[in-house]
Amino acid sequence: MKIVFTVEGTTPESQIDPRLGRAKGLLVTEDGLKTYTFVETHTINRGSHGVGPKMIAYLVELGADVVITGNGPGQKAAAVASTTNLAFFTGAQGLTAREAYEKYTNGLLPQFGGE
Amino acid sequence: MSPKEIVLVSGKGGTGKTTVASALLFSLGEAALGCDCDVDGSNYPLLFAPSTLETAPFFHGEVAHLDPTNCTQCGRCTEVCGFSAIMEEPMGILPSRCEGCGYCVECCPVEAITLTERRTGTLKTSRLRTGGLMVHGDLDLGAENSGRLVAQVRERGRALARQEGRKLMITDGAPGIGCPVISSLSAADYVCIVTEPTVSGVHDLERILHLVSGFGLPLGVVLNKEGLSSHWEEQIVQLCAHYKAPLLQRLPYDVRFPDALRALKTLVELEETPYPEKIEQLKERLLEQIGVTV
Repeated sequence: MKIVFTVEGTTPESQIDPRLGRAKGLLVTEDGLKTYTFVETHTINRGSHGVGPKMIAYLVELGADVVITGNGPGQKAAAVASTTNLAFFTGAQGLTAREAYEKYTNGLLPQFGGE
Repeated sequence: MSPKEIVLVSGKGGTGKTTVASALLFSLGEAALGCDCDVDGSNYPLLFAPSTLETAPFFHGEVAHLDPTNCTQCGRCTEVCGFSAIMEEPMGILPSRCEGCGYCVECCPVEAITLTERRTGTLKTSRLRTGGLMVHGDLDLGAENSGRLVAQVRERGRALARQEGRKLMITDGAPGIGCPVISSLSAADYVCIVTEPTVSGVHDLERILHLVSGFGLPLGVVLNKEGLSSHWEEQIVQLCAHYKAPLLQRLPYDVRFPDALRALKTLVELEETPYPEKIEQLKERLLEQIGVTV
């Protein structure tokens, strides 16, 4: 399973970027952060408008299954996301990516749009 | 400790969002830093006689430039430009008409046209008459606000608030509910919606309550211009209950309110009115909501 984190830095020790469309970058992992790749998202986050839906399209391109972030998508991005199989887990602001992963695996991060 | 950010939004313009933000900022003194995301009508700093300490340019979109030394005047670019932005005599591009689409760049056979980032305004850090600081923007003529610009203003504000050891940032959000507003709200610690008992005030209150609660952000409502309409006040109370948003304060409608603005004063400085006490109560309630003591 491919998990993507929105991050302010470039490593698992970086803080989660609470923003989705304007996240500074993404960490991508398939083995619970034992190995990871950092992806720069300047081409998206420097856009003037409509960065949320663009980010969703990019996450689909990356083949992500789960996205761990702070706020989750806005209305338009959420509408686009609802046509995909992406699952968003929110409330990870203030944590590092590694801490957020811990919380996620323990079921402590709420799923966006879930109850 | 990382500073906590309270963002004020309203949907509809003219509800008193900036006025309430400025009163809170005045009342909080050195504990808070001001941040103005409403760069289209940047009137948050106006009440504080700002003196600029630092400026930086900001950019939004792109604009085409034609290098006349390479240009062969073939006229291909003027044919394809959908915005009539390219003049033939003298050969050149009118930046005010150019949308930055890049069609001319693709069509130019001699690569005489390039796209560069468009400078649209200035990001400023200013010292206020209260001794506090504010980060705000000044747009160039004809330029528009954007989510990206708002993100830049807030990022600068947060960095400065952290550096200066401020516990709070009072952010005047962008008006409406579109892209700049979403960018104003994203990752806020608390959202304070200022509304008024009018048809459009209540209409936009519902839209913005929907938007904010979709993000799961903690929020509260201030009812400004109390006394204008009991019908619409009741609607506001019901909407607050539906969205589980506490009604934090009611500010009575009073002609001395615009008088204060004309005199470049905040509500807190309006002696012999109920406003200083009401703002003080609002401040205490907000601090309690976000768990900060000053």
